Amino acid sequence: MRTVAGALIGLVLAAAAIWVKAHTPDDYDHRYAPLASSGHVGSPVGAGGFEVKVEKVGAARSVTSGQGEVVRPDGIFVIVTASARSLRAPLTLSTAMLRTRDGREFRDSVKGVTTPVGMLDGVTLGPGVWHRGVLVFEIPPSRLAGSTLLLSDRPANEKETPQGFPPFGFELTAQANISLGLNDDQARRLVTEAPDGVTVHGDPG
Amino acid sequence: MKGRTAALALVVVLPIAVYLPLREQLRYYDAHRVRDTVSVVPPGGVGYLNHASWHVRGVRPVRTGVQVRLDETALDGKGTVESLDTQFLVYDRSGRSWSARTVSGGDSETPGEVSHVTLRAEVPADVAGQVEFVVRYHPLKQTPGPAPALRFRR
Repeated sequence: MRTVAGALIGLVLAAAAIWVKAHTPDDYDHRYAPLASSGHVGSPVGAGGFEVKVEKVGAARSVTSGQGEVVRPDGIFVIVTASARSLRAPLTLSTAMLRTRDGREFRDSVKGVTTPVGMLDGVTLGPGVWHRGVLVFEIPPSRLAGSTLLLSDRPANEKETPQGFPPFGFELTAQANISLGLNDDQARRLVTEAPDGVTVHGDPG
Repeated sequence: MKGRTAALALVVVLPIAVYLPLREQLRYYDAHRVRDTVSVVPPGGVGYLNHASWHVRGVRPVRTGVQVRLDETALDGKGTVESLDTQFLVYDRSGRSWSARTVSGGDSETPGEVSHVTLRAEVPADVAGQVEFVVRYHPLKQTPGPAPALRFRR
């Protein structure tokens, strides 16, 4: 009887060990991946030391940059208008990506179209003060449906650094994952009705 | 009897095996985290930090937040260089902080010379009357341990 009980305990312990091992991230990227808070368009999403609210999602066939130059994407420009504020201390948002349904990630600021207002342009956010800004992404039109905005205060360009991902001191940073809420029909309509020559310079109002 | 001894040994050894590495990690974290050692300066008083003296001439609400008028005087040659390593903030009573940026004036470049600096911090209107100005020593290459800071009472 004792032998059977011992064997059972051994089996349970072995199963537990396998489960723990299987659920422990084994690569650096996953172990120190951002701690994500999820939300959707129109609602504030708190993530670590900051809060962000996506107000509007639009698309454009071309945009006019701050210098008056008309820039055309290979795919389509997705223009996200959002507001952000910090919760306790000064903070700068550094990274914005659009993750598509199939897991691909597109960085903002493409083809010289920078993010001009209050979001990633080196603006220091403070508690209780909302800063509005626009983010511009260039993605293939067919991938817009189901996409999610990722925003964090982790410095950009981290995957290219020889030290690996993330840079030292920015492990487990907070990230806001905001679903743009576009199903296939809505995404198709947004792309079809996308205007030309949208100005992204200055306060989007 | 043998089993009981093994169980007892486990009860003693396991907590120690978990606690000792954890204690080391907590010590490392505590030694390396940034924390301020704050000296409070009474209204109208002068504070000393980073080879320079600091005197707040006034904090007043403006349309978008608060404006701080500050006198900075390098006390020696080091103060003229290292005063660059300072960070300016305002804090409200609940501990929230906002960055203050220089809008006019600059560092004191000669020991003994007073530099008049004006800074602005964007804060919500409801705390503009209460926020206090803080100067932190914030070098680019920070050594582990506490960082000195001055908090100016209004």
